[in-house]
Amino acid sequence: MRQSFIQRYLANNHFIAYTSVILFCAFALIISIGKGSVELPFSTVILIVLTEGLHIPLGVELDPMHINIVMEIRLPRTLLAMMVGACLAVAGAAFQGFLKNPLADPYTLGVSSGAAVGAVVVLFFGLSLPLVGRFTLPFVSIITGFLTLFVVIGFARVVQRSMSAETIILAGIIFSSFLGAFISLMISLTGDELRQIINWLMGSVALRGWSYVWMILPCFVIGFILLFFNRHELNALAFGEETARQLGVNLKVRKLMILLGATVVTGGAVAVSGTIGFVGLVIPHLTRLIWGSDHRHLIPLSMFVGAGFLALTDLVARTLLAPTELPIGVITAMIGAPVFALILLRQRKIVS
Amino acid sequence: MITIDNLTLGYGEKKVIESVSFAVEKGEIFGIVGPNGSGKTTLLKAISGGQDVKEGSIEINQRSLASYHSKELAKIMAVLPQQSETAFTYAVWDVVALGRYPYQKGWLQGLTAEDKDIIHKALIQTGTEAFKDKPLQALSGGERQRVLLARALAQEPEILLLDEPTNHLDVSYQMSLMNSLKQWSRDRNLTVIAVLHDLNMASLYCDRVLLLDEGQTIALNEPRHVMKTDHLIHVYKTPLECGEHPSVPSPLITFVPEQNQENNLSPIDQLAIDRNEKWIKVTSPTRWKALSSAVLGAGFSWHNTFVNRHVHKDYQCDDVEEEFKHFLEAHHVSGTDVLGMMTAAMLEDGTILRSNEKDMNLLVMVTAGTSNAVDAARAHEHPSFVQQIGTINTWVFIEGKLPESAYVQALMTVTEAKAKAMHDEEIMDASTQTIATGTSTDSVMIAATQEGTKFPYAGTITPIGKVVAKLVYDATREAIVRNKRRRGL
Amino acid sequence: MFKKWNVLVAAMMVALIITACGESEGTEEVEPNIEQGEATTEEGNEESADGTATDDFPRTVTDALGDEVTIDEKPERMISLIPSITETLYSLDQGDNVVGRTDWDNYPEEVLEVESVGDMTFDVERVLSLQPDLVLSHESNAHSSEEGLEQIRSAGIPVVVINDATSIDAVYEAITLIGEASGADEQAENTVEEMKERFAAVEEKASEISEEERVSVWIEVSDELYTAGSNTFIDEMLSMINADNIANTEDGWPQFTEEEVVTLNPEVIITTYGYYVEDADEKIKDRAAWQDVEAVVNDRIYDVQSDEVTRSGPRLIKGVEELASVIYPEVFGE
Repeated sequence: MRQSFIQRYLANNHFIAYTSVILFCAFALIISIGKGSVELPFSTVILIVLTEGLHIPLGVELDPMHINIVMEIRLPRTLLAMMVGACLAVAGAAFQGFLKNPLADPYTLGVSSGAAVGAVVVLFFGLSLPLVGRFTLPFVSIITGFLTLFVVIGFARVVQRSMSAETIILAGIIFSSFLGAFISLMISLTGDELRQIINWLMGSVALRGWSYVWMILPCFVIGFILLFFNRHELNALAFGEETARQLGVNLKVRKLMILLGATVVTGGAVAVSGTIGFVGLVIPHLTRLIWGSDHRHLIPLSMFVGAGFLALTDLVARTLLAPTELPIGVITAMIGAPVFALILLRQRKIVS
Repeated sequence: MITIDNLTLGYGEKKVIESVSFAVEKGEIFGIVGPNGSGKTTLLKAISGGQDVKEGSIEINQRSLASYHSKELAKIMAVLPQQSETAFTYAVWDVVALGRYPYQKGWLQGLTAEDKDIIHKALIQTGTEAFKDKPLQALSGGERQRVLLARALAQEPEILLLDEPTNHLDVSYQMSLMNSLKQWSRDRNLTVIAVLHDLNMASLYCDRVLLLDEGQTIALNEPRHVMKTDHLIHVYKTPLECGEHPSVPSPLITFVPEQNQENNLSPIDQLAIDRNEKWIKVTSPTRWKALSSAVLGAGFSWHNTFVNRHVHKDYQCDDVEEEFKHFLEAHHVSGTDVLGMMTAAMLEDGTILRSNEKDMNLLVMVTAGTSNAVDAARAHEHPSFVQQIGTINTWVFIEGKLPESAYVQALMTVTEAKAKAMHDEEIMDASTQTIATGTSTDSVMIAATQEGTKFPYAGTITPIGKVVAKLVYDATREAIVRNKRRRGL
Repeated sequence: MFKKWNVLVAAMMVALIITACGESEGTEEVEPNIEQGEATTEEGNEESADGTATDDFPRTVTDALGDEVTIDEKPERMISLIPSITETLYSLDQGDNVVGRTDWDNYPEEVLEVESVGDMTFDVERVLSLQPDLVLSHESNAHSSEEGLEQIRSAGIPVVVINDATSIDAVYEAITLIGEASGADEQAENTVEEMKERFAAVEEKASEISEEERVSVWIEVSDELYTAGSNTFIDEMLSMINADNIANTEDGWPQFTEEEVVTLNPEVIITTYGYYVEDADEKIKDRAAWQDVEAVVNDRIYDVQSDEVTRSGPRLIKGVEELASVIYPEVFGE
C-alpha cells in the first residue's frame, strides 16, 4: 500500500516535472515571439504563426513586413536560442555526469575553445571552403571542437593510461588556456574584423535566420539521442568509472558515445551562436536541485529548461537596451555566475 | 568457479603480481591478505576485469574473463567497493537500482516489475529499506556501505568481490557486515573473494586465505594454516603472535608493541616484597605474564601485583573471588591487575629463593602447610572433594621470554620438584598412610617478563628447568621444615 | 609635474607677448574656435602673400584642449597620431614633413612608406626616436593616451591636440588648426574654401529634389546592424542631399535590430564595410526577413568607402558626392 503510494507519487512527480518544463518552454517561445524591439499586437503575432507557420487559411490580410518580422526574424531566432540552450544544457549535464564533477561543462573539456578557435581562424583569414561555402564558419567550428576534444583525450591518455576524470579535466583546462591565448593573439593581430570576432566570442543568436536553425538541428537531434540512450550509463558513471565498469558498463564504447554526443551538441551550439557561457553549467545544476540527479530525467528535463532559459535570456538581451542588443553571453554570465556561486555555496554547506 | 593460473599483473615494466595461481570454489569465502603494496587490490581489480593481464589467465566458469561482455560479467560478478563517491544527490533507491543495469535490455527499457522486486529484496536484506528515499549523502558510513552492498546484491551475482569492505566501518558494523556475508554465502551459495586488512577478520570468516607479499604467494590454505607466526612476521615484519581464539577454532593474531628499555635493573630486582602475617605481596613496575591456578587471575593473564593471602583454616565463603576483592579494596590494593592466592599456612614459614646464575634470573616463593597432604596415586580413596584452602603455594618468577608451551612444561617441573620435596621430607597422606605428593588444594603460578632471553622449553633438564626444579625443591623443603618446626615435629 | 607647469607658464608668457603685439581678442578665448584660428593666421597669410614665406615662427596655437602650444619653427618632422590628421596633412602638401603615422593610416598611399608608431596606443619610444618637432594628437584619444602625450611633452616636443569633429563645420576648424600648427595656413584656407564650394554645389543640386522624391536610407556600418545616427557626418551628408536617415532617432553609432530596420523599410541601403566583407550587398539580399524591404526589392544596395564618409578630413566631400550619386543618380549622376 505504502509502496504503491510512493511509486505513484514518484510517477506523478515526473509527470509534474515534464509538464512544468514543457509549459515553461512554451511560455518562453510565445513570449519570445510576441515581444521584440518593434511592437506588434499579440493577436497579429498569433495570426501570423497560425497562417504562415501552420498554414491554416484564415483569410486574414497581413502586412508582409510583419510576417517577415515574425516568421523570418523572431521565430528562427527564438528556435535557434532554444536549440542552443538545449544543446548547451544537455552537453553540460552529460559532461558533469561523465566527469563526476558538478563544475564540468563544455568549456572544461576545451570543446568550446576549440570550436571558437576554428571560428576565429575562419574570420581572421576570411576562409571560405568549397562545398560548405557560407557555412564555412560553423562547419570549421564543429571540426575544430571535435579535434580539440580528441587532442585533449589523447593528451590525457598519454598522461595517465586509465584516463581518470581528473586527468581529462586538467587536460581540458590546459588546452582551453592555450586556445584562449591563441584566440587573444589572433584578435591582437586582426584589424578591422576585430569587432566581428569579439562579438562572436561574446555569443549571440542575432541575425542568424533559418539556415542556422537547420544547421544546429541535426547536431541537436544526433547529440541528444546519443546522450539520452546513455542515460543509465551516465548514472553509473556518476559514481566513477570503476563503479560503472563493475556495474557492467562497457566503458570504451559508452565513454566514446557520451563524449561524441556531448561534443556534437556543443560544437553545433558554439558554431551557430559563439561562446555562450554558464548555460551548460547552471541549467543542469538547477534541474538537479529541483528534480534530482537521475540522468534518465536530468537529460530531457535539462534540455527543456535550457531551451526555455536561453529563449528568455535572448529576449532580455534584445529588449533591455533596445534598440541596442546586448550579447546574450553577457546576460547568461550575469544571471549564471551568481546562481552558480549560490549553488556552490549550497553544495559546500551540504558537504560540511 | 574462478581459476587463476600463473597470473602476472603490472603497470609498465613493474610487476605487481607475479605468477599467482589459485582456484576458488563455488560458495567459498576466499580471503586475500597481505601488507600494503603486496598487490592484493590489483589482484582483485584484475578478477573484476579492471586490470590488464600481463601473463597467465583468469577463468570464470571455465571461460576466459576477457571473453565476457561487460553486462554479462556484471550479472555473474558484483563488487563491493570501499566507497563509491558521487558529487550528486542520489536517493538510496536509485543507487540500488543501478545494480539492475546489467539486466536492462535495449535502449529505451526502464525497470521491470521484477527488477523492482529484486531491488526491494536487496534493500530489506541489507536493512536499508527504511531510508530508501533518503539521499545517499545523508547516511552514515556504515549505512552507506550497506547501501552499496544492496546494490551489489541487486546484481544477483554468483561472485561477490569485496575490496577491504570493513575499512571505514566501526567494529560493530564490520562484524554485522561479515556475519551477513557469511550467511548469504551459505544461503545463496555465493562465492566471496575479499581483500581484507584485518587478519583476524580473515581468519574468522574465510574458508581459505591467500597470503601475498610483494606480489607473490606466501601461503594459500585454511586460515589456521596460513596464520602462522613465522609466515606473518616474515610478511608483515612486525612482532606479532598467533594464538587461539578464546571461543572459536580460528587463530587469533595479536601484535606486540616494541618494548622500551627504560633501565638496566633486572625486573626481579625491581620486585617489591611486602611480607607480614596477613599476606606476602609482591609488586612490580612492569607486568608479568602468568599462568596460574590462583583465586584471582587464574589461567594466562598479565599482572603487576601478586598477593598470597593468609586466611584462617576454617575460612568458608560462598563467593571467594568477591570476598578476596573486598579484602584487597580494604587494604587499598587495586583489584584488576592482582593475582591472588590464599593459604592457611603461616606466612612466616614461607621461603623465598633467588637464583643468580647468568641469564637465569629467577625468584621462587613457597608457602607450605602439609596438614591436608594427599598422595595423588591413592587420592581416589579420599572422601568426596571439599574445598579447602591451599597449603602449598608456589610462585616462580622468570626473567625471560617463554612460549605458552614452556609455561606448561615449567608447571610440570614445579609439580615434580614439589612432589620430590614432599617425598624427601616424608610427608604422609593422613588417610592412606603413604607418602603424599602434595596437598589437596595446592596452587601454583609461573610468571615471566616475556622480555629478554628466550626459553622455548622449560622441562626438567632444560637450562631453565634445571634452575626452576632446584629452586622449587629447595624452597619447598625449607618451607616444610619450618612448618614442621612450628608444629613441633 | 613641475615641467608641465614650467612649460605652461612659459607658453603663457610667450602667448602674452605675441597677443600683445597682435589683436587683443585672442587672449580672451580659451576654447578653440574658428575665429581665433583665422585671427591668428591672418598675419601669416598676409606675410606669405607678400612672399615672405610662412616662416612666422615661433607661433602659439590654442589646441582643442585649450592648451596654448608654442611651435618654434615651421615643423619639418611631424607625427600624426590619427589617420584623419595624416590625410589632412597630405592634402595640405605637408606630406613630406610627416615622419610618423599609425597602423590605421591608409591614405594617401605614400603614407604607407612612413614609419608607424603604433595604433591607438602608440609607442612613446618610437615617437621620440623619430625626433619629431611636432606631434599631432586627436581629441578622441587624447584622454586615453594622456600619459604618453605627457611624456612627449616632457621631452620638449610640442603636442597639438586637434578637435574631434562630428560636423562638417568642425572639420573646417580642424583643418584650419592643422594648417596653423604645421605652418600650412594658406593651403588650409584654400582647402576649406574648396570644400565649402563643393558642398554648396551639392546642396544646390539637392534642392531640386522634391519632397516626393526624397528617399529613406539605411546606413549599415557593419553586418551586426551598427549604423550612423544623428551627429555623424553621414547623417549630416544625408540631410545635405535631402535624404532621410532612418536611424537618426538615435545618437552616434547605435546598433539596430533586424526587425526595426525591416519595419522602417528603407528605400536605399548603403553599406560602408564593403572593403572588408565581400559581396556585402548579396548577403543583405539573402536575409530572409528583408525580402520585402523596398531597397532589396528594387535592388538599391550600394557600398561607399567608409573612410570617405567617416574620416574628418578633406575627403568628406568625395564621400558626400558619392553618396549623392548613388542615392539620386538622376540628379547627381554624371
